[in-house]
Amino acid sequence: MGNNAIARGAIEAGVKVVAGYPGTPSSEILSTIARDAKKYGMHVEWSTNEKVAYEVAYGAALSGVRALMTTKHLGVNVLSDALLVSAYTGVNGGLVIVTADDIHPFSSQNAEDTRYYAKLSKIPCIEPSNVQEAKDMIPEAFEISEELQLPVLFRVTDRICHAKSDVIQGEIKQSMVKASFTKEDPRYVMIAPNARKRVEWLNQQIDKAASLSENFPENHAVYSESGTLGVIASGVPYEHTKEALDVLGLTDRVSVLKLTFTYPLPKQKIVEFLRKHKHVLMAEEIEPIIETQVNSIAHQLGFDTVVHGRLDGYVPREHELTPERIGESIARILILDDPNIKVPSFKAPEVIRRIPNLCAGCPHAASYYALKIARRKMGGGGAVTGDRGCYNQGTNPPLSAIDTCVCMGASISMASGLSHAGVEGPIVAVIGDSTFLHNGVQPLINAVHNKADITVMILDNGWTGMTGHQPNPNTGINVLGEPAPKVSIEQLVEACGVEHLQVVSPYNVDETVGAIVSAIQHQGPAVIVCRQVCPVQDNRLRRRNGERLEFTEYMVDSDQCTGCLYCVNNIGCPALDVVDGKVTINPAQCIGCGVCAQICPTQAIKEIEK
Amino acid sequence: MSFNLIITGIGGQGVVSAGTIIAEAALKDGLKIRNSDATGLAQRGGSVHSEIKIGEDVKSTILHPGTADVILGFEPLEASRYAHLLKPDGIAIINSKPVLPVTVKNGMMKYPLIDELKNIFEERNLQNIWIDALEVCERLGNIRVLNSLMIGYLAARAKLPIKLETLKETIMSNVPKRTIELNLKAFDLGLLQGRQK
Repeated sequence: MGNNAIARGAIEAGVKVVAGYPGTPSSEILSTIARDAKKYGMHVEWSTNEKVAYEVAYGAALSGVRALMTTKHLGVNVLSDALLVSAYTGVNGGLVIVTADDIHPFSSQNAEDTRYYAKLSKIPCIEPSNVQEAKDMIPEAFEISEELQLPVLFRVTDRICHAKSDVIQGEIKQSMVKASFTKEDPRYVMIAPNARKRVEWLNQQIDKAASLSENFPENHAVYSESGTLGVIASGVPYEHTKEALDVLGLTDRVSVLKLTFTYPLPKQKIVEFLRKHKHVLMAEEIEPIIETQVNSIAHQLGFDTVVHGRLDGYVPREHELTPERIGESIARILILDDPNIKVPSFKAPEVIRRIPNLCAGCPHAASYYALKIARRKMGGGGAVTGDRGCYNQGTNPPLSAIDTCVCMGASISMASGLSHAGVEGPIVAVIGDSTFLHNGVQPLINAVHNKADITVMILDNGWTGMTGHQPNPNTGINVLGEPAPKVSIEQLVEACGVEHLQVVSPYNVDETVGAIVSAIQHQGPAVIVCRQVCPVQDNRLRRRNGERLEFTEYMVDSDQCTGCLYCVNNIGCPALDVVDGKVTINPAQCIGCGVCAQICPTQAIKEIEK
Repeated sequence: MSFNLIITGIGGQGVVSAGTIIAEAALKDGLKIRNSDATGLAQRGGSVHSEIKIGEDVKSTILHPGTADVILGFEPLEASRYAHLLKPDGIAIINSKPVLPVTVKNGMMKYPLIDELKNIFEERNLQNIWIDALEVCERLGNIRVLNSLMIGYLAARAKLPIKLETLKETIMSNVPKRTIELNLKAFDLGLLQGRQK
């Protein structure tokens, strides 16, 4: 997997400190490195959020050792506060930020191109085009970082992170650098007079970076004999371009300029490429960042070359590129000069979308059911602000349980806003344990301080579930699998000044409904911790420990089942099937949580006595 | 030489592990591979697919439409979604037993008739093999061997450039220890039935 290759690259580069926060598609990089942490004497950690992780890595890099930080694109937004200033102080040991951008997006709230942050912060950007290169370029990125004393943004996408390929491994160079911190006034103290001095330094460094980019071997062109069309491709679209040319049989007719060091750009190489072609097609993901710069170069020099891409509609404006999409763009340009060129067209069959659900026996589904009943008891209205985690699958039918999902921690602060605005009815924020610790505590302090009349449900399943069950400070173990101190969510909530707090198990439906009702009735912020360990992860670990799992079994009395589908529509459990209008329970899926039995209006679902 | 395959299904059916087994086996036989999985929300009953390219000169990890030699479909709806990836003379090997989404169970959506799904492939004039694989697995006593059974069918019908022995070895090293025997049985049964069909 690409993420394993990136991990290998970091180990080959002799990295010493690695920090990150899980996020698809980046998560496996850090957990892979963690497996070898002891062997190579590395410190590896899941941090509470990306800004914390970046600052840990940055602090380490000031001491001269190499440090790596991993994140998905949204985490770059979180860490950007530290990033922009860290570019002013610079680093001593190499510092590489691997950002895995979900550009389509496949599993994120937005499609984002973090390459803008390289430009914004004035730090170099490296974009590998395949899995092998993702490994090979990590040590290069560290070299560049150390040469320029700047952090480097290493930008990958889903099609590298989760792609697999044969990879030739390199040698592991264990670092001999001993960490040391030397006071270096005024470099690390970014008060304004000192920062003013660093503005010029940073500009000088990024100019040096431009000359490194110009001489970077993986910024190179392969020219065809025809001067009609050249493609400038960066990242994964480079491989797609080669594939498309291959499938269309046009490899000999189209030149390709491959860009890997993409900020700053190798201007001379681009000038030369533009000069030799009538048309240039830009294949980059996902914003026209290189395209606007190439356009500006062509314009400055008064070239006739026409630059096509996302801006003029020759490349679709949104979403990831594929060999098919690039092939179509190439053909549409070539046909302008050669009517014999065929523009390929393929149509995918149109079939219904499969909507994902919460897993069988998911405690979140039970929490959502209790919330629905409690809100109804309280007269309805209001709003449910959601957050980021597995539980946002609760937005899908049949649950349709949450009304918003924006970013980590926003559920609590948005609920406060709705409450202060005067929205009538219960305002409830729903947030997971890992998300609460990531960025939910400050919004809760804020809600208390500013007297927001809201209810906060912390859905505590003990794991960072959505991204593949990574441990967090509420799990009791760390990334190495070692016991680690467990934060007390209750004490934390109380310390924030919350006066109304209750802990429940969502598998007890009546108790949870009662807790939500009384929290809503409470004036001011109230918190309910809905605590039930994630059964998927818990059962996996128990199986791994050789435990034989036995679940309480349930069955549906078909005489009593009226086929009202109340259970299917209100918890949407995948273990519930409908056969000839009546509900049945699939024993292969059911984990015996018993929630359906508690809510059945005709008590048709019964525990099987053993 | 190149061989392109797409495996489709839903979370929990073993699509990704089947892809991993085939890709790893190809590597062991000295071939180059590209394998890309789309597993967003896989654990939550969502669509999953794995694209595998095997050959001497493989490039992008995404299949170009019209270039897949085989679709290995673990679920009929999910297989039909990718019918356009097949070559005109490609082969579709599909488990005909649907897995219904909750939104179909409660009547919000309608699952297409199996004949409608079959037509998507028939219209494209391809070699189509429909099997009731779940029934076979249930007979073997565990639906978790679906992927080994399907790999068996694949090895029987497609010009897979991998040695049978290598495939078997790779299955053995990828499945839980206590299920090795059952998985090999499923693979052999797939191979046998695939050759007969």
